[in-house]
Amino acid sequence: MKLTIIAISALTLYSSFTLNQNDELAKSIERGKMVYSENCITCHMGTGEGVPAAFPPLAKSDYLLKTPEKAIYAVKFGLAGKIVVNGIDYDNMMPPPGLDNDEIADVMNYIQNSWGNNSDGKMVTEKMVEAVEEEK
Amino acid sequence: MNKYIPFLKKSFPVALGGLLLTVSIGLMSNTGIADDKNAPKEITQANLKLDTVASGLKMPWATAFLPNGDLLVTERGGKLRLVKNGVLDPKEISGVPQVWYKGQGGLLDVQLHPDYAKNGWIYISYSSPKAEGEEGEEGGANTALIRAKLKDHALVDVQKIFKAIPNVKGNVHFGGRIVFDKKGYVFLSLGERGQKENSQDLSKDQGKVVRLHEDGKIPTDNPFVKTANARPEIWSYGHRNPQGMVIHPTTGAIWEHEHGPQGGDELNIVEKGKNYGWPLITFGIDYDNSIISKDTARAGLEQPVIYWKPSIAPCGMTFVNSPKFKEWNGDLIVGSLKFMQLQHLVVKGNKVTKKEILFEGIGRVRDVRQGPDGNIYVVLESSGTVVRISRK
Repeated sequence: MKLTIIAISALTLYSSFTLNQNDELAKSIERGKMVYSENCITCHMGTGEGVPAAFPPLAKSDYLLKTPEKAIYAVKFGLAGKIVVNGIDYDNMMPPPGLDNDEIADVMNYIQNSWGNNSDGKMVTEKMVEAVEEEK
Repeated sequence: MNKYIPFLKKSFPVALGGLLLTVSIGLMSNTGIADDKNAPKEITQANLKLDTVASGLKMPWATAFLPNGDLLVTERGGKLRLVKNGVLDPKEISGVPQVWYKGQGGLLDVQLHPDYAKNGWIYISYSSPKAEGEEGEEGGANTALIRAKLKDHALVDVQKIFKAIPNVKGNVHFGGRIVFDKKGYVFLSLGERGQKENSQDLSKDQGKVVRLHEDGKIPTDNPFVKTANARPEIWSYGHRNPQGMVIHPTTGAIWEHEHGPQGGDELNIVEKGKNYGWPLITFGIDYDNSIISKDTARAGLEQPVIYWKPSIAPCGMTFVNSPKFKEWNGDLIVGSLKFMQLQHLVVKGNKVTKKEILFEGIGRVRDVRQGPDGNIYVVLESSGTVVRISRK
């Protein structure tokens, strides 16, 4: 009986934790959509397809999905020079959008969970963004 | 050289159009009307050279030419810099007001007063954070205009002469171009700050071009001075995000270009009291692919001289009025942020008769100006440089 109670309460705690986490992620994605439409959409476009030969796609982008830390870096500090996305070279420049760390986390969660992208419930937090430092 | 190829592909239809036009002009000149001195002769990119005159800048936005040959350059992050003899002065200029550096905001345009040699006034636009008592959202900002004088490495006698109202928290569409009409007025272009409906609201400065006396006083003959609830500084309205504005060297008219929605960037001739239609009419659709308006024209709303589809994200523009580019005199050179190129627009009266792409892959263009030496100078955000275009 005692064990059952513990098990149930543990389960409740766990599910409420994951629920909260999912809830947090959903809210972050919602906020991130706004950030995206203000700062990213003119180049990366409404469905994350980018512009051929100029701006890389975010939808199903290996660069974003396999190396999210590089994507956080790009959003935080901008990007210049050649990168390879889905096997295609892009040699352009992305100015730093000048976002706060929480906004960067939100927009990362949005782009990682839109247009067929899925982070499997993993969430980028403000702390994770804070930890990314500029390479001099 | 390889990196230019994709751009060539994209621009091929335009380039082909240009080629056909060039060929037809060539044919025309063989039919005996060759002496028409207005017919554009050829300057091609092959006749031109590109030299870097300043480097090491961080996100430069605009440049102005001081009489001693130095360049003043704004960096969007909030610094005003000097370039002396092709070298960036490591010491920044002090006294620049606090800027709201976020999204597209920051330190924006710089222009010298037409009588700078006599009065020393430098005009600077920037995203200005909401001050105590100003209308608008807490933590928001809008575009402001100051004038000041340069003393060694300091701005002195700083006067805030205009602040667009209301302050808005969103971080897009600040406009920010400054232009003098040489009749004693200064014009400033203002973006709609991401709130498109306010471009049509005369009680707000969003999406407007404003006209001021050079000390910031509001002219009594501005078009809406006597209109109830309208802001008296407004000269024209219905703009989205105008980031190119120049005076035609012979007619004195104001030509402006603005970032439109997807496929709707525009070149306009801005006139007193007129409505340029955003968002009631547009050639573009929203960036999320939704329809903004089914109309591209309506009575009482101005049509653009041209529009760009796809959008090039125009930024910076100059009329050519130079003995060094006689063949281009009266034409426009427009910068493109998005496609990292310049566009040479052949202007006949109030029309653009030809579009030619120059310097594919040059970088994200923020500003284009004709220098006192008659050469053309381009500010490049991506490489942090100012480059000079001159004849070989």
